[in-house]
Amino acid sequence: MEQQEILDKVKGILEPYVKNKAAFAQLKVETSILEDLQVNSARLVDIILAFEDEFDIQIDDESADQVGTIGDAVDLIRKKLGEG
Amino acid sequence: MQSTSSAKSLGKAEALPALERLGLRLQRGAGLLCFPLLGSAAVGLMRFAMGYRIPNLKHLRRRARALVGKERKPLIICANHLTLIDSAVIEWALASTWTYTFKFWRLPWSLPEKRNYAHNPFLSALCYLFKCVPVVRGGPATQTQRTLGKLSYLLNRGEALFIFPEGTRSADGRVNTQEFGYGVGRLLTQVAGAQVLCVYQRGQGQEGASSLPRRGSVFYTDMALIQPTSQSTGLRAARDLSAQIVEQLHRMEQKYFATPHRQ
Repeated sequence: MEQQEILDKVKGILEPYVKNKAAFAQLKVETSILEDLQVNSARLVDIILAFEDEFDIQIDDESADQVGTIGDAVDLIRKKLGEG
Repeated sequence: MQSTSSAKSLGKAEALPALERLGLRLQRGAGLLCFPLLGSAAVGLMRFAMGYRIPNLKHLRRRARALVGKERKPLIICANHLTLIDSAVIEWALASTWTYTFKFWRLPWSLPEKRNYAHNPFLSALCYLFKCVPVVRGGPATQTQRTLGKLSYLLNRGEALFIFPEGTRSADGRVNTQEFGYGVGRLLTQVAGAQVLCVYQRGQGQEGASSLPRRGSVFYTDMALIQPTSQSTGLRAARDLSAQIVEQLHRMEQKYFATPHRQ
């Protein structure tokens, strides 16, 4: 799967949880999910589980904890898709 | 606890660095030394300065003992959250200062948000002595892992923890079954055999969240011991387990509001 396709899907999953819509409109790979997009930290788990469902991958707790930015999320998904 | 997630509890507990284990033991020791005075002062303030009252206190404490048992084992107390002193009022309801002094492991470790008190040295000292482990919501992953490691270690030593699964005070005064944290579920996937005591408490006339209950509040208290289970693993199990706890608190709340005279 291409990086852009992954990014588009990630954006679609994130959108309902984003409080800072202005930052979401200017999304970059270095955008922080918690700080810039102001996603509630408790919802990050829902987002990770949505990644699992959308991309049919398994994400362990330790990897999930490393997701801080959009780029981290895309890289993790690419890695997991590669493992599959 | 029958989560199919691997219960890596003992391994994780032993993995806690020696310095952190020592720090927790020192904190516990200092807390125990000061507890007869501080615990009595806290109960005195609630009873006499604030005029709080918990009806059927003896019955509640007997019930808590019967549910939890005498054996020292991992226990997580999960409650609804309406005021800043919910944990203190619930601890008062569950056992006497005397009991906590002689069975200090029964006094649960609390997990206050560090930013709420760290700026005030007096509050920081009180939190330290009342067995608090500071948490930073949304903090770096390493810090979250470190906190989880400490909590697993404490649970495995048979200490009790106090957690508000909603993570914050209920904005509209009702248990939030949609927006809650999964931290308690993560702990349950890591600690084998932990019991969950759900406690629903509410001061009479407490409609929404506030800093303190009103003076003269009379507290309704209900409790239930549950064993959340999940067929999933990892984060999915954490979510399942947390949801079951919040659902139990929600059922207890429905029972409260269905009771005509509410105590």
